[in-house]
Amino acid sequence: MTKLNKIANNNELTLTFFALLLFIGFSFASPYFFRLGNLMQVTAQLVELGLMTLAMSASIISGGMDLSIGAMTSLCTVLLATFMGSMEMPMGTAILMTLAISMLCGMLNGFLCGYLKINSMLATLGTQALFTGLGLVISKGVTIQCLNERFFFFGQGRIGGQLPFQTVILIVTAVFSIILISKSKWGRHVYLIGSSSKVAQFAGINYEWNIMLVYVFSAIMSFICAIVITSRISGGRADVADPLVLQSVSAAVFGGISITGGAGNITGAIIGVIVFTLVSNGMNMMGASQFLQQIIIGSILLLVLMLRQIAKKRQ
Amino acid sequence: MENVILEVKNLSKTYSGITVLNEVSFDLRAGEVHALVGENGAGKSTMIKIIAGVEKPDEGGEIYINGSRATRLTAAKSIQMGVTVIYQDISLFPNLTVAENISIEKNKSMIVNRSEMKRIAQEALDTMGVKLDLDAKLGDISIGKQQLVAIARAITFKSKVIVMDEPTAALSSAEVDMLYNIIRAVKAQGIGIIYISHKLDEIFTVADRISILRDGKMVACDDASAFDNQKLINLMVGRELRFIPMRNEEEASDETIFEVRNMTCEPFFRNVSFQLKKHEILGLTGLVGAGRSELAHAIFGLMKPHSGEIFIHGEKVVVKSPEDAILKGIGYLPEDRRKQGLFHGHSMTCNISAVTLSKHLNRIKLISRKKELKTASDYINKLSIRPNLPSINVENMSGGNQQKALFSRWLETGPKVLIVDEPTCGIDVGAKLEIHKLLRQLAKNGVAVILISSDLPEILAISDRILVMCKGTVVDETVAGEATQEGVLEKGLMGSGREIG
Repeated sequence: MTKLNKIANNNELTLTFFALLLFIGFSFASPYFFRLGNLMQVTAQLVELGLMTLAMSASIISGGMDLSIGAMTSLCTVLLATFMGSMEMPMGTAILMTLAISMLCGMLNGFLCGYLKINSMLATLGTQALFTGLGLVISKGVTIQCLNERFFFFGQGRIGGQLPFQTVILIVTAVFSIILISKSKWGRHVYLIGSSSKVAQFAGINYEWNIMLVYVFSAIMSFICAIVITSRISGGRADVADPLVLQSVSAAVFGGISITGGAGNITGAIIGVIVFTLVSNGMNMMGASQFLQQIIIGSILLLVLMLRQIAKKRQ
Repeated sequence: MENVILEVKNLSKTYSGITVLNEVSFDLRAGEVHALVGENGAGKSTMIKIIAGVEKPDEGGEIYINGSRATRLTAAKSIQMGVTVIYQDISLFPNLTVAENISIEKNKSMIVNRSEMKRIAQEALDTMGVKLDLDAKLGDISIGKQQLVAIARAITFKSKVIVMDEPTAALSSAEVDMLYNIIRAVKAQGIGIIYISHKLDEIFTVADRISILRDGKMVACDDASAFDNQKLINLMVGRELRFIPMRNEEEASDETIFEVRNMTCEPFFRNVSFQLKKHEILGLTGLVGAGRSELAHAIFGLMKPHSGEIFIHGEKVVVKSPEDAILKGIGYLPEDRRKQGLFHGHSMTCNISAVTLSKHLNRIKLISRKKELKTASDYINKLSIRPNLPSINVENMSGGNQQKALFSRWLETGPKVLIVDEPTCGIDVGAKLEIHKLLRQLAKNGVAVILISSDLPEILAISDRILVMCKGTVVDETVAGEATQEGVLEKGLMGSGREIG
């Protein structure tokens, strides 16, 4: 009994089990699901939401929420497309310039939330509008084309003709983030600040600087996501990543990251992304409509939240 | 015993194994002011919270309001039954007008009727014999006047019992006189008042009866005329000395290891100076709000003092932030273990290593679980922390062991100066003794230990020198052997000592 409890209490294990169940279920339910081509497709579909969730998770763990990551990503797609398209910059220069600008965006968020201590949701609601506006002005509201053939590799390339390159990007980034947040001094400080910024203050943890780094981290993740998107759609648009923002909150929370901060881990959040992607891909393969998928994903999220709340009350 | 409007029988309250109220009985008659006195932590607030329905008492206690038994009291039910508590931080609506605040509960109709509201408010103020601008925004008037509004509201609630918790804490002396008049007017309405205060002169002015709580027990209850200043103080403190005195056994040293010169941080404290000699423990006491914790915050860099200098081992140090203070060898174990000390939901190990993560990194600058675990195990053995389980969530540890974990956090920094703020608050006697031994050991090893405590026996038992603060100034400095509980308490209460520094 206690052993069973222990397994049930291990969040990642439960979620992995759930993901496996879905995987097996869809394999039987649809003849098209369990094929190498489709499975590779699933891993590619993970990437954009996965990167956004990494960005979102860090800010949630720190006790805040970065709502501007979608706008930041979209702005970066517009910049990448403009730099490489109409401005005909070399790929490397365009990437570095976009990275620099995204980091500036992150520093603005970090300054507002860390140094001025403005509520992060409000501050990033403001910067979200700002970044979207900038993107719209630069792109004049339309999709900007970017036809740099070498650049397409990031979002369309396949290694050995099978493994999508973007999957490799996600794996490398995720492993790096997991280590950074769970093992580095900064990561630990983020957890402690998220647990209680007051206690952290009394423990001599530098709130301002650590929070600054959180939002710069989010910005860099958004930038990487922008590279994948721009490459995949061969262009940039000022609202292209907007739908990913709330999905990334759902995935993070589904994966066990506490919405009040200080608890949960990145591995769980990534498993959350996998579950969401499996549901969406599997249902596509079964020919279910987009609308139905929304209902199913919403229901799964609510179910998990309810079960968790009941388990918490029992304790 | 006619006209008893509130009666409490055998009320007990235990927080995680620690008894803060022990079979307390108390009654309040209509039209009387019954003062409730006792030291910090004697159980006054807990008792009030139970009567107000905010805290649940242990099984077995009984509360009667207006003759009817109140079971499963909630805050709303308590108000409905006629009990109003006016807390120190007055709980009113700062954005509403005086009239709106007073009549808020009365206005039951769907439509706000301004003239009716004003009429209700005026009526209540008339009973009290006070004039206030009904249209003034509450946030714009003085705290003293806000207090009057709170009382007026209690009257419109048709309260039978009004509890005033340190009502004069923020009042000017003119306002205090006004409050006395109002209390008399309110009494005349047949309302009973429970009056909590630390100020003895005030108590003798307003109280008809006085009850004294000490260590959660009711030790005396009689007419006010049966007491005098001295008797009251004796009763408040008069417990057997529970602590074994632990004084400096090293040779007296002239070496000053820590010094604060003329530190001022308005409005909390001003012109505070003291020195700490090697092997000494400096006790810092005074009432809550006397500026003790704020002084510690300023030394630790949590607050920026307006002026003043700090010297460690004769060297001047400027502290810019807590991070900076830790680098310079200053540690601070905060007063509120729950809100300022512990990272809830995290393991004991993680709580211990939180300040010293840089010492727990491996070759590639990542946190080494092995090193963290070793540190935690070391302290578990050294301070006999129970349970012997480094991975335990701190929330599941007892208060004494939580405190030991926090001590470990600071010991690991290897501090030159360690300020401990109410380190034994709410923990059992055994753990207290261990912490006292630990402080003594630290002092022996050359750490400058500053002990902030409201627990006078504790201060007297283990500090070598005692500073008493009152209203932001140091009013007394004595060598421990010469100080008595009564003397220290009197100075802390009245601020009547000589000004030094």
